[in-house]
Amino acid sequence: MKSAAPSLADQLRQAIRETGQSLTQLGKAAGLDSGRLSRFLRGEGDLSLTAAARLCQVLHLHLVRDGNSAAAGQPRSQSDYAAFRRAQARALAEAVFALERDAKREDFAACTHAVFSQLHEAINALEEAPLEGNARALFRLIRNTFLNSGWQRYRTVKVRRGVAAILENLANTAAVIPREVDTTYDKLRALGLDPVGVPLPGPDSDDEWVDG
Amino acid sequence: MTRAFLVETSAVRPALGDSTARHCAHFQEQVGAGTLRTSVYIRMEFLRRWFCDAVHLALVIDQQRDVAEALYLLEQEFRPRRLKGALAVLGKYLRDMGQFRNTRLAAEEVGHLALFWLRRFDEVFPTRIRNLCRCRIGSMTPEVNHNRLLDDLRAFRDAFLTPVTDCEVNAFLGFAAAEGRAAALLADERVAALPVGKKLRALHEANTWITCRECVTIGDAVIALEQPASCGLVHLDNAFNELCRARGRPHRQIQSVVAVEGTLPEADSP
Repeated sequence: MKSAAPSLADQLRQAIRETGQSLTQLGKAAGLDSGRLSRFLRGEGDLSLTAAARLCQVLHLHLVRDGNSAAAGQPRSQSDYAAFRRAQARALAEAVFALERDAKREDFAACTHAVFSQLHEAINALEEAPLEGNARALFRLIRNTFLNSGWQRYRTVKVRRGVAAILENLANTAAVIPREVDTTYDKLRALGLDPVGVPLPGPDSDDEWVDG
Repeated sequence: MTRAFLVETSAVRPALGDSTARHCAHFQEQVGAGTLRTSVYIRMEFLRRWFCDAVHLALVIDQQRDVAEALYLLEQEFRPRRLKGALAVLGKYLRDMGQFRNTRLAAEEVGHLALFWLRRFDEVFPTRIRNLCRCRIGSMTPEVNHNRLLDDLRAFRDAFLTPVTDCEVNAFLGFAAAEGRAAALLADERVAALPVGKKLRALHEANTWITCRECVTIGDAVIALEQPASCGLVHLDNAFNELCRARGRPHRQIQSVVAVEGTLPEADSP
């Protein structure tokens, strides 16, 4: 998909033009040849990354992620979001499957953390997607299975395959329906996982229960 | 023969495995290989206490600028004994999940949690005793499309909390009858002296028409009156020692988490 945003080189050219300094002054400040800058401005030559960085320093420019989601590499339309969710689910399925190589390690908890974080990111990235709420619920169920030492269960092949299969299904689904959240809950429970993650809060003091 | 146990609301947490490890083990020791049951009425109490409170939290969080502000507001709004524990647990959870800055996602997290809790309740208690009191709201289950989660949860909460004004619990308690269930229970002096006994007596003497609003104040009595002889009641609440004795029903009082642990565990502290 072609981005409508101006390229980095175009933005740099624009900033040079707007600075009000001559190319000689700018070149001197940045330690660059003014002729080279001139050719760059005319679109006849490129700047190395190092030269561009020096120029940015002089012009007080730095890279900022665009709030516009499409420009920031984030999905924008519903079909974008669905494609993004499918890609995330596919990557997660592979990541869960790949836990096999670390399954016997003592520090397995640290190995599973990448999957846990990826699930987090998927939930956050889909925040603005009105039709991906069911997918978010599903990602949450899986994420919660890592809580409270639940990651230990991922040492077993059965659990890794089972969860990877759920994620692969999510990667191949055009639209997630509410029923899939329920069936996913059941599948995770059947694997011996706890998808709830947080215990029911207790009373503030025991008196509330004991004394009615 | 495997014994059956009706798990009263106060004993639901260890039954679900949601108390400390030692407290849950204590619960398991008490019930052994027995089968766990619930009632529509106890499920109603679960929905009211945990599900609707969590949905309330979610809706408040969704309307605030930040999560901390929402939790502060809720702390001011509620009686301390009611929700402080829940606020502490959910606040910690949202922090751990990195959802303390984003109210929309935080509200959704809490809403999902409410659903997941209910799901687990129904999983642990697949069998219910007969709904003798004919509670109409305890069997309600939210139909949720997660794409419009908060709207669906709000609609469910509104429907659930709308008092039923023509409930058959009135016939069940039999306030109008001299030998109705309520009168028979209140004939026991020790039951009548309990806080729930006093509330039941006041309603009985005034021949009050019971809606959900009044019913929640006499929940222990309704649970005791519904308990079948074939089920032992597992409870934490002292009141059931008298209620079950008066009804001639088997029961087991489990220890509180404080009695088992010596102190209220940190996760439960505000």
